[in-house]
Amino acid sequence: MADVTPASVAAFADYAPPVTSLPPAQPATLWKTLRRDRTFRSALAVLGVIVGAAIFAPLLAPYDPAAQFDLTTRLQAPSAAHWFGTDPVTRDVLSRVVFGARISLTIAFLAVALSLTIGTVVGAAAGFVGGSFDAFVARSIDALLSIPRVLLLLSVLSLWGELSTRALVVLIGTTGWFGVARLVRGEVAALRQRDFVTASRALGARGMRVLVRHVVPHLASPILVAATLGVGHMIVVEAGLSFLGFGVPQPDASWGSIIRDGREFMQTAWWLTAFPGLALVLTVLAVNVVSDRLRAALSPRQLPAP
Amino acid sequence: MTGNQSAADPPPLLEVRNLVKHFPVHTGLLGRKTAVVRAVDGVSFAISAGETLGVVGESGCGKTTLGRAILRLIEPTSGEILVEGADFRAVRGKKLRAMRRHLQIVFQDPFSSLNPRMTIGDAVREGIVIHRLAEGAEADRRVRHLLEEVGLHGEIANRYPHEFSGGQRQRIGIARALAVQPQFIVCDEPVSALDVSVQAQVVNLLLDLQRDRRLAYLFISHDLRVVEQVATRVAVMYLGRVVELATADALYREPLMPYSQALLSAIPVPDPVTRRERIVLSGDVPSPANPPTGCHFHPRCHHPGRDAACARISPPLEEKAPGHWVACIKQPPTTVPWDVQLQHGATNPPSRYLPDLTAIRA
Repeated sequence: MADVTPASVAAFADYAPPVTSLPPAQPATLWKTLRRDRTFRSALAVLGVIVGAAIFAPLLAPYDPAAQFDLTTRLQAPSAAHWFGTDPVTRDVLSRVVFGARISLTIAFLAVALSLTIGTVVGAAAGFVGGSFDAFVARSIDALLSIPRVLLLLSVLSLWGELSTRALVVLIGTTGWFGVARLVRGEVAALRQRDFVTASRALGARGMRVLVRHVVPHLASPILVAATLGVGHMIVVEAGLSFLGFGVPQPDASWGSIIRDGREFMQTAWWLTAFPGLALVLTVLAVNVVSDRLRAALSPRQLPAP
Repeated sequence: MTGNQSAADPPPLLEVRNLVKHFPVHTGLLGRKTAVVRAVDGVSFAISAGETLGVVGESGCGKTTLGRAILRLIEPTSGEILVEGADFRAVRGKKLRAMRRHLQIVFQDPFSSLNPRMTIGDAVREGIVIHRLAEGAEADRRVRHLLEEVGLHGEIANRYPHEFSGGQRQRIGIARALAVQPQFIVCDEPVSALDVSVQAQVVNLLLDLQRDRRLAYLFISHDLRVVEQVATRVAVMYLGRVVELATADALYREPLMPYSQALLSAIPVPDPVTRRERIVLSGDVPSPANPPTGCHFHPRCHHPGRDAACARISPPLEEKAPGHWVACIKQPPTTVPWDVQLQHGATNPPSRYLPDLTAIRA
């Protein structure tokens, strides 16, 4: 999983739904549409299992993820006692993967929350204020987006060496908002031109009121889609960093660092990399499917006729 | 047209003097200003309470920009806007927002003019809330009353815009504007997007409201038939300038500016037997970023007196008959003397030209 710039990055940055004046997608209607979608349901189920495993890790994991047994259990293939086998220092891989879900998902969710917040505020401000401020922000975002993410992260990380998990979240979050800002900026700039916004200004509304009442409610759908896509993306970024050795500090382990620990034994002990890798792929796939279906359902063209 | 007012007269409800809106065109990486689109180029007029000034012209002639510049929804480049004598361009911030209450707008597109995520009631209530005109149950009562006044049921307040037809939405947009008790409303093509049968209903609603509330309208439209029905006076715009301003009656009977004549001759006549003179304009509307010199209309003009002077003299808007203002140096009488025209290469002296438009008035 060294490749931290998958296709989802591009989609995350460039997604721009059409602005139309079709009915608001009420949560109830949205759920009705999505319920009928089998792919969405299975993806949601997979996600549910993984998130559940992360939350209830202490109850579900058969062993302490850091517990070491005697040397006879070293590098054991999957068995009834150790479903996912054991690693070179005799730890149970299943327990590590289950606890790894906690780290990986927590980092991803927090980083997404951070980048969405920054991106939305910056993008909305630029799109709403307009003029030279908007031009400056837009060009800056373009410039920041042109720097390869991994390069940026690695150069920052190489300055500090080992970072705490909290600092890692901040770092991933603060380098991930450019795409969101561009998306939100475009949406807000388009909304600002709409007649109902002009009408509100003509009525004498102050800028803040226009923003809160007429612009922000229309950002919910694109931000929701960006958020789901972002989670998948952030998991991959974190895994990539961990794989390169810049991830969560020991003894904590994310899926990326578990894969890293197992890579030397890839030929002899496949279970060390295959299971965390599978968990990673399944999660990202499920998140991306959910995001894709959500976008389709939120797209006004797919809503039942008003 | 603004100078002949004696000091004793109360100022008109709305007066616009020499209003200009130029849009800079930026090109290149550094966004250098390379050209200027003269969307509104020196427009003056006055409107009194209870009056409707129709504004007609082709798309791109600056009608919509004029409407929005008057309301300062687009900031004018220069010129004066006086609301009951008070300088509307001088106010800022809180004062500007307070003054906006008197000047409202109704839009062309009924599907874009209402926020799809806001109920009808909230949309109509917005102005009441902003200007603290009423609160609680009293605000509810007002919203219901406004909806009824525009011909809708008061109970629809908690429904969303997508549940309504174009005509109904237009009524809701009108109710929203009325909520702040304005004196002046810019109607920006308010019926152009509607079916003909619905158009008549909305036009009648606007006329009823005008009568009941002594509203003044700036009625922007490209539909000359509708304008004839609603307007007291009509301004014809071409490339950002008013080229003719007259009472609706005079304009439709005796259009003096050749461009107005061409516009009127294009009104469809619902009678297949009627023969009529049609003036077909050659060429497209020139770009407002690079308008023709002199009279903007001269390259397309059919006036028999058109000559070289038309390309060199910018025609002033002058009073050819009482209350009938025309910008054409070839329609007598003109304040541009013949010797001045001669200096600019004139070959044809001014001569009155009026095509036969009787069929249209049938």
